[in-house]
Amino acid sequence: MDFVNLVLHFVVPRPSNNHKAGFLHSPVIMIIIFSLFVYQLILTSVPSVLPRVLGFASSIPVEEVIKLTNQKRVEAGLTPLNTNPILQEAAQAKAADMLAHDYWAHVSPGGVTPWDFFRNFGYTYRFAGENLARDFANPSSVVDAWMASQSHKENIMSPKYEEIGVAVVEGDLEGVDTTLVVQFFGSRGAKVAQAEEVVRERGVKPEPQIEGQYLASAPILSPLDSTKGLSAAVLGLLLGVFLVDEIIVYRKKIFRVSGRGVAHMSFLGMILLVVLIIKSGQIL
Amino acid sequence: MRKFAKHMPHYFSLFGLLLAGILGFAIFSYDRIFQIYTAVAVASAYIVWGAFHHALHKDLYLEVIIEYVVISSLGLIIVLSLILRV
Repeated sequence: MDFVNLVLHFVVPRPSNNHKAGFLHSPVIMIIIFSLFVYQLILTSVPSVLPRVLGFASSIPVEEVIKLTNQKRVEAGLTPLNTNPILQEAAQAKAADMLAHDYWAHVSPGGVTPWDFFRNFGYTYRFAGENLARDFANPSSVVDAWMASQSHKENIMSPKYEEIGVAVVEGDLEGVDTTLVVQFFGSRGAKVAQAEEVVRERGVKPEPQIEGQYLASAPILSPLDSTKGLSAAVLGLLLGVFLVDEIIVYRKKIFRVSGRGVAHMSFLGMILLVVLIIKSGQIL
Repeated sequence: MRKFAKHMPHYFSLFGLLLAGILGFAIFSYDRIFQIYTAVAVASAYIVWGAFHHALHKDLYLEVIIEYVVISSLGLIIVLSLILRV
């Protein structure tokens, strides 16, 4: 079988493939599924072999995050928050702590809470809150994601808060080059809320602060973008082959036992839309 | 095409199912758990839709079911690999 015949075998229904394009046979699709699975395994193992090759390119100025946050508050008729340098430093320390101890959570594996960072920097709060984000490309996508989540939105829109501190720190988290955004809210006062009095004293030693809050990183490969690219290519190929297959089967009036091509194209088309919709970034 | 027109009521239910899936992903774009449940639900519902559709048209065979399972598995692994990479 020469090359042209081999290609035709995989993309066109003909006697050699029992009148169904080779790519659409279940065993071939199972091989594609297995290949995608292996690709994900390779992506997962890359950080241990080649650290900092994978990552998310981002450009998130701190001032822009604060500006957008205040914009949302003003639009809702609330007073804008004042930037507090102590909260900025505390947020910076929290971000550095997550990178140093390789965790992505409000409370560290050692039990250090966000409130410990407030207290370690001498910020006596009446009310305090924390929003976290990672792997976003720009400040508006970060704030939009927080606004889309009820609990994060409540922090941004809370009238209890008067001050804000934001840190954007880039570093290696679980082997992947990551950009963390830490947003601290607070209002000062001598009276400490009951729930916050039980915060344990852990003697947190803040990590050395990372200079520069405007970061622009350019890792070699984004795991999400590469997965999206490969997925879109596979789906595009299968959708094209399904279309050609359906047209030929319809025109030649071939009868065969098979699923509905239109249904498969609709389902895979929906998956392709999801591939395009999914955005990078996580919030906590 | 005549066959497609004849099956239109079935396809309306399929399109409704797929549209609900897309809307779920678009609206809850940062809720990973919800997205995972949505992906599994849509993939499973697609297999069920295929089985009912072919059963009603009296052309339900094992290889047809396998085809729906394989296609929905492909969709599911693509979506899950993206959700877990976000």
